[in-house]
Amino acid sequence: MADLTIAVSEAVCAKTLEVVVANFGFDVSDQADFGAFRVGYDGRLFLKGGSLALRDDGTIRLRELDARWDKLDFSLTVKLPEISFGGGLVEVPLGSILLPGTGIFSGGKTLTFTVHLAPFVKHELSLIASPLIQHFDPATTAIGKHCQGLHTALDIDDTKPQWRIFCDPQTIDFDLFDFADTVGDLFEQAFTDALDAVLPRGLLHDLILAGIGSIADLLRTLLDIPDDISEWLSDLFNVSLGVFNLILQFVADFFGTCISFFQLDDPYPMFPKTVEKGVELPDVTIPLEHLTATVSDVELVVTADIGAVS
Amino acid sequence: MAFTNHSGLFAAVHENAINTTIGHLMRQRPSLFNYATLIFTQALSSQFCMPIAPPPGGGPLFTVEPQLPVLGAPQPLGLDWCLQLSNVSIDLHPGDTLALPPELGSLGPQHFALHLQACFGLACPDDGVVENLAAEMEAVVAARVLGVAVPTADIQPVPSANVLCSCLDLFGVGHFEWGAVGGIPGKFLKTRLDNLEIVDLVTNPPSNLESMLECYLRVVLRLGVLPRLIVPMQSLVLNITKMLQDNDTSIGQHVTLVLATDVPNNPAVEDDELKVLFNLKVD
Repeated sequence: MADLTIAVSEAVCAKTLEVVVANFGFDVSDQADFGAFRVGYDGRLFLKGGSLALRDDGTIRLRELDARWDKLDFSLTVKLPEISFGGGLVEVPLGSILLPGTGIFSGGKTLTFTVHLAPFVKHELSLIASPLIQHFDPATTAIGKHCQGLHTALDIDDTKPQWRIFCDPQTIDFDLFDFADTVGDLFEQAFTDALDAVLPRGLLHDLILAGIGSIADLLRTLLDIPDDISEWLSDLFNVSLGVFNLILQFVADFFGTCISFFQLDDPYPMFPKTVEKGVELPDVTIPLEHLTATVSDVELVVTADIGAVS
Repeated sequence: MAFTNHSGLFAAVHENAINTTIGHLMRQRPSLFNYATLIFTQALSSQFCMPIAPPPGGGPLFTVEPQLPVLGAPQPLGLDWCLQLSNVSIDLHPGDTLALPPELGSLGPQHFALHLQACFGLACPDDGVVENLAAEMEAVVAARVLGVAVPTADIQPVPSANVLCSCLDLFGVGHFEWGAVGGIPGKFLKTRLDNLEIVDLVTNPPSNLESMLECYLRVVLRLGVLPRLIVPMQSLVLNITKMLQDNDTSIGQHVTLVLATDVPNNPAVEDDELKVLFNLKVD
């Protein structure tokens, strides 16, 4: 029997995903000036849906987690150069006339185009992963060159022993553009707009609108069929399908053994340093041994032992 | 059977983990378990009842305490002493680690047993030292009788190079229970002491000394120590939202881990483990 046991039920894992989805929001914005023109983007990403299941083969499955954009605006600003027309000496029968010239876009005028891409860009992520535990010892654990660079960039401390828990992806399925949902939404929006234009709001309007929603759902389901087959095959063969997903798999494998999502110092500072009667007392630390994480179809169990007193 | 059959989150600590952690605490913070007068840092450093290993991370060997006053001395005098607690260990039901004294019987369900050894050392002065000090005390009394002003002095240590030690083995049995605290709303987790036994203090001739000491310790624990250990239920609620806020992550929901209330014992003392069951609550 382990010294320490913590178990988390599948329901709590699923609820945790719901909390993450409900509270995740990511703002992105940037712009770059290229002299004659300037480009920029401004967006806010949020999550929607998704389900999480623990499986009896020791893996955790995340299904169809959607990433949507509340706002995703790309702007192109062009600085218009001044253009001059006409002007100069014109010969006439009785002599010549000096015509004045004219110019447009004087004074550094700019023209900005903004494209609202949010309705068209939707992503969907499915993955199967298992927890991977590593005991990191600065003296003996090798870190690859690229991983070392990443650790430096992220200020990850590689000078002290730690237990590190990685998310080791078995398969990843990531739709950069969720085609089914995109088309379904466009279809639904187009019909809704058309209906609003021709029919006054009322019972008939609402009935037809409900019908459109069902058709859009059906369309989504039909279009998602190949995607679901891909996910199924990917799971079956334990290899992600598709070139993009293959690249993603490599990246995930790299991060799966490079960037841990949870780490515990070993020895672990159980009681923090304190001052008693004016005397500073250092941390009380305990060595952690045999850290394990196992997944069954009902719960995730983490166990550890406490090392002996030396 | 799954750990989470009766709750969303299950946590258990085995008695071995508790005892090993106590061992680490004793090794690294010996000053929590050893109390002595200042002289034990110098002349009496080798006279402890039990040797104290220097903690690996540094820090004091013991907590410095004032000397034991010599009652009635005309000038304040103090004897040096030390108190050392050792062999502290816990046994959770079913009791299979500690051999309880027969007076305590066997460990009942949901109960825990505690054992510790307490050694008291008194720096006992030899007759020559006492005679010299007696002369000083007589001089002080004589001066006062004759109306000569005697300046007040700090406590003067009674020198000694000999520490007499006596050790006692103490066993206790207790349990946890939930209950109200007079007039205060909410439930509190209370640690209850059921019985206490000092092993073989006096056996021959029969004496009340052991019973008196046990009675005193029992009263001290029940009235002085255990009331300080009550824990209100709300402080056992783990506020995830606040923990995230402390790590610069704010969320719009109130997420907490609350103690599961639909189980017979929570915390439960069983299978040599202390088990706590929580449920996730999202508001």
